[in-house]
Amino acid sequence: MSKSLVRALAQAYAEQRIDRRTYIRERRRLIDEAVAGIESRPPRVLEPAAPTLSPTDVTVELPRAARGESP
Amino acid sequence: MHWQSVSATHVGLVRRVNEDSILDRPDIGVWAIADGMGGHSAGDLASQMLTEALGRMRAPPDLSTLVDFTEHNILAVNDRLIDLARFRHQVIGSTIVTLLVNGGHCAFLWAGDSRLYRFRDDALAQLTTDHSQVEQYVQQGLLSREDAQMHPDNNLITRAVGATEALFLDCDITDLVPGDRFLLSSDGLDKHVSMSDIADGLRRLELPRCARHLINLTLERGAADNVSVCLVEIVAD
Repeated sequence: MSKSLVRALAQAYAEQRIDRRTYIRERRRLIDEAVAGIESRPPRVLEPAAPTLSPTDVTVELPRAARGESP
Repeated sequence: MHWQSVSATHVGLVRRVNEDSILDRPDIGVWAIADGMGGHSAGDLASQMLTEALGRMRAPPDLSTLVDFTEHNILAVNDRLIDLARFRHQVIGSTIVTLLVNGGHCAFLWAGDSRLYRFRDDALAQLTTDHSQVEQYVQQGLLSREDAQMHPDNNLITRAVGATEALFLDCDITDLVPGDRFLLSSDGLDKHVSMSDIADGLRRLELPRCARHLINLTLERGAADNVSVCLVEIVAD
């Protein structure tokens, strides 16, 4: 698990998605945890982005008929 | 666990200068192969600067510190090569692959197309991914791995020490198991010797004979480039 996290972190740094200070700190954490046998939490930069609503998104309740349900 | 290692290099049958350099330091758990870029003059100087800088390191207390020290030293050489290149009005560069062992784990840092392999449970795995033009073609699905070897761009690397001021080293870690065998190599090996040939040697031969075998196979097949190998075996206490 941590093996791929370290590599992914290095790739994120190479793509300049994180700064050097963050890279060094997170790399140390991942390596130290792997050596200690601790399951690592992925660095925040590697977490998938949470779904977001754009300012123009709205929630609309469709009429029942439009959803194909019987009244 | 402890470890033993052996290394070998040969100028090959075409080049006049061996621009590869090897660091073989089982006492501090550090091994490296640097391959001075063939098309660039003074590649031998670049590769030697790398192995000498890493050879001056002392054994640190833990693996993460060893990784930090190694990266720091490689980046310092990168800065010196950039300065030297400005002074000489030429690019001076080298690939690098390192294996760093501390306790029950190892880390590896690399830039360019020098490789690290691991032989475990009768299977050979390439642990590094080349920073090369053809590897990008393969990743993008534009080229099969079989065709990559013969592609006219197969000498173009996309990352190297001394190539740019901003150097990003790739990095990964893995655990160690007694019996693991690691091979660091310059690209002069994989131009001529397949992974199945490498696995066969690692399966059958003791380290010194295996190193000679891999060099001899390369020479028998034309040795168009310098070739270097460094073999590391993890041994149970």
